[in-house]
Amino acid sequence: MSLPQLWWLFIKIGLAAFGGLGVTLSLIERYLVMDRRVLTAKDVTEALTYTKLLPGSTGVQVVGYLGYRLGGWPGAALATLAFLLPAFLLILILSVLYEEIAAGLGNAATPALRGLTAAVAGILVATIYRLGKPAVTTPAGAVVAVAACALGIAFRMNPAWLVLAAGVFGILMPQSFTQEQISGTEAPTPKGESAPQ
Amino acid sequence: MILLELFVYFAIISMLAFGGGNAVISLLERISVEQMRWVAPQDFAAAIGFAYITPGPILITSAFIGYRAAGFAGAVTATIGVFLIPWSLSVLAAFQVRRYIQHPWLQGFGLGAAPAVIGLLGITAFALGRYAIANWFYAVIAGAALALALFTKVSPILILIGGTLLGAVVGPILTG
Repeated sequence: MSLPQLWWLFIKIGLAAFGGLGVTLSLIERYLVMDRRVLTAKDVTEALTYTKLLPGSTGVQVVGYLGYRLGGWPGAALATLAFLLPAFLLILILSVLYEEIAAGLGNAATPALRGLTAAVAGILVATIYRLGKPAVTTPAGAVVAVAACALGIAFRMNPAWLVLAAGVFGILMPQSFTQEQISGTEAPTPKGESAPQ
Repeated sequence: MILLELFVYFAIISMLAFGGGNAVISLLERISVEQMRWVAPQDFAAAIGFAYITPGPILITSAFIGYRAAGFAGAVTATIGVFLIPWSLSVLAAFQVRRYIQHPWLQGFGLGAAPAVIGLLGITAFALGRYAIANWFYAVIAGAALALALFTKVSPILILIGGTLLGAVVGPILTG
């Protein structure tokens, strides 16, 4: 993928990434994994795994991480600038017009924002399914996924700790995430890359 | 020197954002409203509102706070401050992970962490749904969006536009 192509694709993603990380991931999964096949679902999960351990805006970090995979440091810089540019310009416009629109916002925007957020939630669940299929392949993996979700909702545990704990679990017992434990058949050793699903 | 202050404080805020931008919203409020007085309390509420109605990460609202504090230069400075270090760390991680991907520890870590990361996305979906699904109508929007995203090739952008329009136009009629 050429750098100008990368630039325009991330401008498009940045323009449509309403609702934060969820839609950003959905768009990356749609455009870069499904349509163009320059990345795999595992690449996206890998980017999420390591950026969740680092402080900062996860969306920008995932874009930087995958931009690096697609075009080295120039790719990382271009993808991130393109991703942030639409949001930055919109915020700038809102900042300039702030006095005029501050009064009008609020109640009038709520139903529209609810509709948008409901759509975001639906799209995100579809993305969770697509990214989850290659990432959750064993019973132990399913337990970890459900546990991370439940602990995060019930106790508001910090995502970075949950990822770290699951990662250490993976170092200690890697075979529980690679083997089909029900049938006992051995899955092939995972590599860094895999074919698109 | 307000630009230097903006850069340093936003860089510090970004370095404490473990788990993502949402983790530091209260810290951002404390620093920009109470400590540095860059924005008034009601401005901060608008700052968060703006972040939600615009695309991109929630921390892009740093541009709004920077603009209120020091105009265009402030907007640019705050934005660079809040994204530069986390971005550099993530690209460095991409570089290092590629180098050591064959190491068994890194492989094991990736295997265990991947399902957890998927589970974390479930938390986000849950939080979004809890806010959005105020009644059955918004549940239908969410369900339709899920079905379209899962079973058709309809662009996610169109699904988002459709959900927003339905919410804006039909939502108030149906639910009063």
